[in-house]
Amino acid sequence: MNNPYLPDAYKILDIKKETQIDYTFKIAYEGALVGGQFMEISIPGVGEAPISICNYDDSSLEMTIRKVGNLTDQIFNLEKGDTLYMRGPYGNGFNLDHYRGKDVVFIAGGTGLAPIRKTIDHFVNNPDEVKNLEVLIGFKSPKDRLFIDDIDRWSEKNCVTVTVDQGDDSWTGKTGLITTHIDKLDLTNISEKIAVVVGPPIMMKFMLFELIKKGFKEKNIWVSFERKMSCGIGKCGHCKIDETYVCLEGPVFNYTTAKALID
Amino acid sequence: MKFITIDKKNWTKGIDKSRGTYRLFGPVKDKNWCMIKELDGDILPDMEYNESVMSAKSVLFPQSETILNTSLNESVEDHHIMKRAKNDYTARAVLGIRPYDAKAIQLVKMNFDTKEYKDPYWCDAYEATTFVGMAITKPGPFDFSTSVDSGPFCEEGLDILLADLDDSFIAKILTPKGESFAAACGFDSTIDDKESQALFDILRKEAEKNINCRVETDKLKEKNLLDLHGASFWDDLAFSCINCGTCTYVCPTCWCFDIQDEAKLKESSRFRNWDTCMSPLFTRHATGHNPRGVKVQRVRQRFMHKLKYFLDKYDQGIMCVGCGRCVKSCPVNIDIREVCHTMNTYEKKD
Repeated sequence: MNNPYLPDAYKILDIKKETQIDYTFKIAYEGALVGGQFMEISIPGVGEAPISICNYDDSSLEMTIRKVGNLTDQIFNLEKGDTLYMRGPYGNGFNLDHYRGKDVVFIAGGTGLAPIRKTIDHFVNNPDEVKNLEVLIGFKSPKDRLFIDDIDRWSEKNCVTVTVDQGDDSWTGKTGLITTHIDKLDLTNISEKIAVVVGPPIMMKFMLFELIKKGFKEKNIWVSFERKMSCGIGKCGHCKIDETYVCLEGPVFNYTTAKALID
Repeated sequence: MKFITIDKKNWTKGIDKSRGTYRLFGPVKDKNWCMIKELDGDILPDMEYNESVMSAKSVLFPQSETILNTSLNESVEDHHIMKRAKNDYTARAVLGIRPYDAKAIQLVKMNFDTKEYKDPYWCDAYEATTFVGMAITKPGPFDFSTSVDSGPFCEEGLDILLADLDDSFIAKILTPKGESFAAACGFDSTIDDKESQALFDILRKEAEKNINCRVETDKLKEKNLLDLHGASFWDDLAFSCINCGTCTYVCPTCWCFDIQDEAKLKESSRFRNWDTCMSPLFTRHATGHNPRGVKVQRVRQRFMHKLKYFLDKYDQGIMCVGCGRCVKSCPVNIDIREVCHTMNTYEKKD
């Protein structure tokens, strides 16, 4: 019987420092992936954790990892050429067909940008696939910004708004909570506009409230849930909301489904 | 299906004979209570036990189970490459499992044996196991199994169902697995099917009469999920709960687990331990955010999962077999029978 708990060994090709506590690890990987899926990564003897895939190509994938605990502390000690252990990919990811031909806004808060990064990048590079594209990104402060090079590149297409909750002396960009920038989006055809929202739970809660209030239709809103996952394969019960395993049926849900997934 | 009779004088000899082919598990007196344990050596099952503190779920799903191993010694070939732990999946039999516990294993199977992913540890253990049930003739005071599609003579999930006739057992052989086990014991005295079934029916009715508690579940399905979720009774219910998790550990239908690594010197193991949705750590993110950080959310989750979410999704009854262990074990007297009644009769007030 196939053993879904067995991780394989993969080489770290590159490590990029995004912030003091967020590094992006590029890992040799060949296999089919969808943006928004996640891997269970591990170091034998230390532990295992679910991490979103933020980018991939035919021979590698990237994951942005925040240093927050025992396992991620150890991962931050790894270097280019070292080995990381992974199993996956898991979850449904973002289905591009839900957004093709539509007027779409991607809204990401903080590390929520990581799982949606690949999807945004796809549409920035293929603008003909959507009717209209906007990206709204919020970070706590300038030093918390992720994927700065990507955001600069996306900004050349004039479709990106970046805001920080609180600026510093060097920050010349927009400030204020991400929800305060909804009005600056193109809301002319709001009943047909698609919103994809990913971020910390508190940001998601208020953002969804605001979007509905502004006139977005529930069926046009997509979210990606962040849950503690242990097994990743719908067995352990950790990520379960009612009878729904987020690791299997999500983490991406249409809001009409997501709104009933309550704790 | 067939019936055989087993003279109790031959019982010990028979099950000892099976030890050559089967690892045996069964109820064993342990200080003041009874536990389901492996019957090492010549330990015999206590077939007259009333109820075990824990169910037989641990026979397939140990409280702590090593799933992967590897060496961290870099001079060893394949170091850090995790391999499946060499657990024993030779044939095993659980003797005297209560019918409601066997049914619970069928509910747990719905989690571990799915189309997308089969849990190899649980499924291999399940395949290796023969379930030899002991019908309940004297139900305990907390037993409400007849309310939840189970009961003292429920055959679901069993390979053999035994009924105690003082000097002998009548065994109803339900599956080929059961037939193999009976053959390994040398139990082959077949008896008339019709007469035996009639006797079983009489014993079943007698036993069912002794279950005094009836819990209605008939209206749970039609209740609005969000109405139940938002009901005010959860606050009262959760007030006394201390989130100890005892209810989840003793529950035969609870399957949640956590995966952890452990390293000793240069040897590393990945194992899984039973976990409990009653613990705030169960859902707490590494960032500190906890979507179920408040006690009432966790208490509600447990009961809504057992009595509403599972029912709504699978339409195969509630996720409870009525063993009553959680009622008996709860240190603050939270009673799932009362909660079920409250939910079943709940009407939202405008």
